[in-house]
Amino acid sequence: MSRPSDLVQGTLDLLLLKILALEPLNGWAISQRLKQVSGHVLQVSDGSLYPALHKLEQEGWIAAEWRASENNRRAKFYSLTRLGRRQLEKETADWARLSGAIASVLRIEEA
Amino acid sequence: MRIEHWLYELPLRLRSLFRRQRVDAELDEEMAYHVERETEELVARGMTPEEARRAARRSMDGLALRKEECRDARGLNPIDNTLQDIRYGLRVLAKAPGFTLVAILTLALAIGANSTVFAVLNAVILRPLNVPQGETLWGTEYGIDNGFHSYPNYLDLRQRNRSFEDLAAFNFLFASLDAGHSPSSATGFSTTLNYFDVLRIQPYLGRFYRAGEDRGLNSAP
Repeated sequence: MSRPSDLVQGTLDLLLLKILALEPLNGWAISQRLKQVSGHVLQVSDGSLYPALHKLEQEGWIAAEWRASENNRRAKFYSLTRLGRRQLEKETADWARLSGAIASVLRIEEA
Repeated sequence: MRIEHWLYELPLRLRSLFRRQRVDAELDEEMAYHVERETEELVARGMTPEEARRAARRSMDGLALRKEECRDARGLNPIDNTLQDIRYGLRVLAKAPGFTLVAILTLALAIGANSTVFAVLNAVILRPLNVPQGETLWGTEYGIDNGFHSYPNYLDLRQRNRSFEDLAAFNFLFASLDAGHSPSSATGFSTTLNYFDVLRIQPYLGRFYRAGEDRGLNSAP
């Protein structure tokens, strides 16, 4: 599976889980939200979003449902499951540990 | 944790497998929605509809590939690939009928020979005799080469027997049957009086021998 090159491996899952924890969204809305909240810093190609979403659904972390979108067309909405919420907590903690460790390495003063 | 995971995954997998056209159609619809919505957005930002549509499609960078990746994520591809392989195999076989015929015949012969040998083995060796308490039946042999006991020898053995409940003897028999016009040969067994008692079997109809009906070696019943 291809991953966006400018994202640390595995972080796309975390971002998707977090965004869906706020509210159920369809794929297009998720892509908009990603660009919005990251201030266009995180460049996730729209195409790579869907394989990631399908994988998360397969893992049981998110559930899909067809309903009317904001412009009244049928769209597939994803929402976080109980299992997904637990996964989000775990991945958030992992991320905090990893980024904390990297940050403390970068803080080392050069002699 | 694992069980809960399967609660989600199993229905999805089954759906992917048995409602695949539906699942594929939904995937198409999901991506089509995205392209459409993105196009609208770009038009709203001032692009011409044509430009917008092209840009929207480009942002999905390779729709077909993305769909393939989604199918991968759903674990569908291994099944698809297997079916494809089977179809390809059948096509190749159909193209080389001579080879196919030889291969099928070879397999058929081998399987046939194997099952015949097994059927015989099963009947003769593996399956116990269909008599009550067949596991307590034993055969005795005299010497190594011949194996047959003489009748007097049998009588002696039976008289001095302390190891078995009883001893019965039988011999192969080739008889000529002549019931009028067409004589024929029959194979059978000649047995001692107690033969059926030792085997503990009863005829479905009628009777076997009765006590006193044997009159020694080579006597007719």
